Amino acid sequence: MTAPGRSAATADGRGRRRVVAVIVAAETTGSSGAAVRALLAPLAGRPVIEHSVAAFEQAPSVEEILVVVPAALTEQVRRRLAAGGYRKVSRVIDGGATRAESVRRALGALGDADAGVLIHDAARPLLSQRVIAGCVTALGSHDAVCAVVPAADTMVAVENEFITERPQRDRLRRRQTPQGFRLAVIRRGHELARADPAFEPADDCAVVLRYLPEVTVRLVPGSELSFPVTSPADLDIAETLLAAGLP
Amino acid sequence: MTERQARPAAAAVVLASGAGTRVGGERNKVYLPLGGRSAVAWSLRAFAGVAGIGVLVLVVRPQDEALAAEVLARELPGCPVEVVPGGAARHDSELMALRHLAPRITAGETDVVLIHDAARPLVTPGLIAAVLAAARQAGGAVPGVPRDGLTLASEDGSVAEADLGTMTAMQTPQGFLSAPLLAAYERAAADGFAGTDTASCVTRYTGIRVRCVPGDDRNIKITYPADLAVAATSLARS
Repeated sequence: MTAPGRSAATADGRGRRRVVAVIVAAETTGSSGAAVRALLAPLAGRPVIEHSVAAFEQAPSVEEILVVVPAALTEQVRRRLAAGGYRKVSRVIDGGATRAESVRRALGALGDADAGVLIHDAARPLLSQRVIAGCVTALGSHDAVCAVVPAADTMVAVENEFITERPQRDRLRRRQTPQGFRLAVIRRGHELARADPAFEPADDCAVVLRYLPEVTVRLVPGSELSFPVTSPADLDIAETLLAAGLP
Repeated sequence: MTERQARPAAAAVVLASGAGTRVGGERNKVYLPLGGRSAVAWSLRAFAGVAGIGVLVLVVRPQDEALAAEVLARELPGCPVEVVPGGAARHDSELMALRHLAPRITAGETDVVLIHDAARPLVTPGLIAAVLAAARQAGGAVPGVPRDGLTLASEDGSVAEADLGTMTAMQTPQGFLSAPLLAAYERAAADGFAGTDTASCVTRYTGIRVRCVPGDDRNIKITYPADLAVAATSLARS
């Protein structure tokens, strides 16, 4: 796992920012034990987290991969990825107590050069090259992008057990990862979010939508197959999909 | 109409009248084999196992009638299922099922109607019983599961306009007191209104406040090809 040489250059020959993938394995309140076990559980012959690493390693538009995991697992993951020979993995770092804190640590480790950052949840191993490419392309012209899929179910707001409201179904999207940001933008968003301890964002788009309303979040097509794997049942399903040649 | 004195029972309506072709293939997905039996049979079997349900109705596309009869004879022998031809949209199919049940609703024999999408074959008798109990008490009930990470997109779908926080994804079966439900659908028919789900029509035409009961994450809707594999895996585990 040698760190690729990082020059101060902010763009390649075509004027595009360099793109760094940040893979986040967050400690999630309540289910951390199960989530951590799922992260390292074998899926089609390799740990769940390694599937995301391999996908970014394979993506021509991604230059560097930074992995942030619960501190208890850092050494184990570092060894495993070193053994896998992933050239783009520059570092495996300790995460924080929350997902947001883990992302802040990763962003802090990225230096000051302008970059595009694709933040991806390690719990989503079924990451396709199509979705990565879609995010990178959109990030070329937007400061924030997000992979989404339509909400197949009808969503309602419920208060005290009774339905109170129905948003327009054809405008509802489920956010997935990767979500891509210009480094300075997402850093600013997370700085603002840190000042509000009551805010526990589900993802990084939620941070931007709440604290940087002036930033346009471009939506790009995600994948129906990309779901978070957090339980043995999820592992079975992911195994079935991979065996069928998906994604 | 010989059991006037009997305690009223609920009717279960399973909707298999959608095209169901997003999963690919010519055949309606709900008749595809899934862990040993079709989605239609899995759903009907779950309803047949719940106390207090007296009638099972399956709404089919007119062109699927023979196929449905064949599948029911093979997979649910001896289980009485009333097959009703459906309409073009979900709402029309619901109306046709309710009109089929109308004599029993009017006679007071069917007190609650549970409406279920055949594309949710993993529904359990426990969830059905919970919806039925809540529908009898509140007048209307739906199962829901929490979902976060939801965005409201712009009209053209290109950008995010808002984070909606945690919302509730509605599942089926959705259960309602039969008389107001039938009246709501007849009024909707007169108005030309078509809802995307049963609760939306009830909310619009009745004073019923629809209660949300805890749904089941396993009770997925088969929409895309991958969902078939997911459901088969899940059924195999159960």
